[in-house]
Amino acid sequence: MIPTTILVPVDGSASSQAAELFAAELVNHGGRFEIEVATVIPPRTLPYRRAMVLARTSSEEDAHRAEELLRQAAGRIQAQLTNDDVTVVEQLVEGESPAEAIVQESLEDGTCKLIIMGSRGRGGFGSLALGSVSQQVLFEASCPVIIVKG
Amino acid sequence: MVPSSILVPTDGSGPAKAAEVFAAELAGLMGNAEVRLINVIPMTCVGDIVDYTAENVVKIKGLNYRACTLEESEAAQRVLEAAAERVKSVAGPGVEVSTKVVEAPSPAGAIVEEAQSERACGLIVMGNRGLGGFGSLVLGSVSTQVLHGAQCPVAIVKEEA
Repeated sequence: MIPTTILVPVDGSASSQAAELFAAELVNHGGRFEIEVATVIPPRTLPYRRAMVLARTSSEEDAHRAEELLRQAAGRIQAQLTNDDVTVVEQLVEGESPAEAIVQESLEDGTCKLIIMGSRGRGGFGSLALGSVSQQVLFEASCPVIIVKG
Repeated sequence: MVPSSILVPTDGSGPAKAAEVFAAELAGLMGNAEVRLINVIPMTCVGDIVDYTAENVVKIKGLNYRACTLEESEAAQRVLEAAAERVKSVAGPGVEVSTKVVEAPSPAGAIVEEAQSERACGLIVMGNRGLGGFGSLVLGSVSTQVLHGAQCPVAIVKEEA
């Protein structure tokens, strides 16, 4: 049986960590799952013409930081897991729009059954109940989305 | 935070049915979980143009609301019974299913209140939009308000295209 994939987009924020914890608690009830922790960074390279108008690209250092963030998130989830049938994979995604990249990732291979994410990330106003990325993912995703508050 | 109790607000709409199925799958996975189905009947604010001494008018926070009729509450109960059947058939025997009709001026307010009642739930599962409003909206007003107001995690489920 192919394990069902749960996509957990992370950015290290409090609500994103709450989402990690919730995902771990959920799969600990049983069943075969793959938890895919993913984080989105701007593309490392852009086509020349695109790069002229949209200068935001990631350096190698940005990518390393993102990989470290993924490692920590995966570690936190692993530490909570009591179900041996769960695997945790890390996925660094490059994309200009975080929400779009997350939704694309959820459609990859057609196995993602669920997205679990924090209500708001590190950017923007701290008082917002629902951040822009969470809101866009809610709008665009075809699978169920669980929003967890930090 | 372990979601052993899942609150599923339903109005019998397509997305709500998808939410019921998803909640049932989750509950089935978790084993000894409880699915609490609630259907909120929105009360209509009637202002002071009607005789508020009439039997079916109730005053809430200084405003007059028309209480629902017996037919309305029976219809709401039937929606819940159909939902309970769907949940039971998906979730299997280990899952407890309860139903509740609530009458309130604000459906979202009633859902959040129910989620935070003494029988607190670990998760709310609801459709992206209900029966009312514009069919083209991706996220309906009640779902939006619940997302903003609820303390517990909220799962938003869409009807499969």
